[in-house]
Amino acid sequence: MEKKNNGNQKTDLIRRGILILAAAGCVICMFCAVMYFVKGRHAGRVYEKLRQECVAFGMAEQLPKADPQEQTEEEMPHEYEEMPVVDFETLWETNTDICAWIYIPGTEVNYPVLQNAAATDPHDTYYLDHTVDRVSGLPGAIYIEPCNARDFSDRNTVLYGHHMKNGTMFASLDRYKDNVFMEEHPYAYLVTPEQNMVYEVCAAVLYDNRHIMGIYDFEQDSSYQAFLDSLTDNRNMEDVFREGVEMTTDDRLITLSTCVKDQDDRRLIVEAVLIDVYEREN
Amino acid sequence: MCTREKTDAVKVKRGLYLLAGVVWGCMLLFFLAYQTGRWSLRNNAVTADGVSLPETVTYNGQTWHYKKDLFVFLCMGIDTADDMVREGETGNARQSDANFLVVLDGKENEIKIVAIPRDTMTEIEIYDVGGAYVTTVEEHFALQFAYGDGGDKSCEMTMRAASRLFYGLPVNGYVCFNLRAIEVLNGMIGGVPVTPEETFEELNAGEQVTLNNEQAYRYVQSRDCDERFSAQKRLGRQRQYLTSFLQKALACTEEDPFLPVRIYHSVSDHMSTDIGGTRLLSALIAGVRCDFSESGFYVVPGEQRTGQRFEEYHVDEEAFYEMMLELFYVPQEN
Repeated sequence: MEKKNNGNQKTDLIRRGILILAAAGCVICMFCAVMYFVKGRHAGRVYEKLRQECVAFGMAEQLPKADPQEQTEEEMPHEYEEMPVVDFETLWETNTDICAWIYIPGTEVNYPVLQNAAATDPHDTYYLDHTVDRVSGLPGAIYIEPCNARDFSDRNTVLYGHHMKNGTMFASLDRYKDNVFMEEHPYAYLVTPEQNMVYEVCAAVLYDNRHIMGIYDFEQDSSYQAFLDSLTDNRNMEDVFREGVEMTTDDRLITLSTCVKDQDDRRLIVEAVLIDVYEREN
Repeated sequence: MCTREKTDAVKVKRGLYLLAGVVWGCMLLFFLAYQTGRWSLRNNAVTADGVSLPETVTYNGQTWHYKKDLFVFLCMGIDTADDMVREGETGNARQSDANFLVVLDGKENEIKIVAIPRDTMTEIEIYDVGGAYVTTVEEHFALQFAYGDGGDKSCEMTMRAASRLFYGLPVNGYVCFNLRAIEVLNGMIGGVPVTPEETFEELNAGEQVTLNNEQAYRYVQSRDCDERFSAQKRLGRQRQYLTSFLQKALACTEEDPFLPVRIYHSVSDHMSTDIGGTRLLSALIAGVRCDFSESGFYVVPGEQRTGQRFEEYHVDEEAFYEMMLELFYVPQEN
């Protein structure tokens, strides 16, 4: 009888142990889920706050073109009326790493662009998992690597952003996989402290995950051309190219890069060509 | 009741159970073999560079969904009279002069054939003399086969080249023929009737004739290399012959269900394939349930031009994209 009681006690203990472990596991999982949710909401609020306080829409200024050959002063065309007006001084109160603002009408892309000035690695990825207010975790921020020029004067500047399930960051770039959408939403606006830039979206490519700035040297025509060829050679049914437009090594590009759902080794990259630049009055 | 009668009754009952068991067992085995074949065909499908066709595509405002229940086979015709081998030496291979994708559409029960002109300029893999991969270059499609060993390796490379050209379409298997196969195949179904569009050697334009084996060989293989665009004309004759052959073969199979198996055996010296055993069973079952008509014959759209040294066929990408949607996708109903 003694033995049986001891046996029962042992089983009881084991059962209790398992229950405690399971309960602890549940609590930890719930905690992580809540933290993820809270962080996401917090980040969403931070970005919304920046939009409200630092960005206005509408053609507030009439600016001359930054084209040295053109002597006449010209108004910004009516079609660029959605160009945002950005208050960098207030933005820098949140984070001095903010080097630009990107706005793509028709999508949810309306974010500050960051570059980690303190980085020693030219391919630093700090802002992949830190938001604009330096809080660690998703959704991170839209950022460029230190190897690209802060004023976007490089022949190709790569902007990275997560593909968030809730449609934020670069998730809505997916819409460019529809050629009709690309036709109807051609402009991407990039505002730096010095310039207002207008880019025309001309390609959406389901690319592999090669490190573009690490592999190609855009200062070399042959390397730049190799990159352009790799886009047209890609051969994916979801690739879209703007009709009648061919990117050449004379163009200045931005490449918007984001992840693809369920395909770790693919990236969606959206190419946009610089078509107009306006100097900002300071 | 007499004990003897009871024993007999029990014996008959047992016999019936046994028979039922055997019948069910055979059916189960057949079913398992069929499913294994299908699984094997899907699992070992070839794509290039890890790219595959996407499930959904949006084009001109319409959403399309990838068709399930497709089997795609690459048929290559090699311009040689030598026996087909599974393994050869690198650098000894010929070019694949005739290339067809045979698509078995299980949903619509249709066979579709897509011809890939031999001069199609596309990305092919090149290898060095030792057989090591170097890079991809834009070259004639027919040349891909030549970079292999004339056997399995050549066929696999050509399947990848086809998959790459077709935006990552998975290719489930290949069949590779040499020229002698034409004569054997022609004979197995008692000759193939064609009506030539242009006068071809002794055959007059507009007159229907049932080709004998030797005529079939010449009709499908001959090309005057000095004549401009002769490859296109030959493709036209191949299209005609293939359509007529398939229609007659399908009709003959209805009367003689074992015909495909006999054809397979008789042509095996002139053919190499990776579709055997259960895979063949599944492919045949999928195939004989389908219809085929001349409207099911497609050619990769493009334009024949004279290149620097040789003739080149440049794909019309927009028309090709729309053909891909028509062949492999179903429009979403809104």
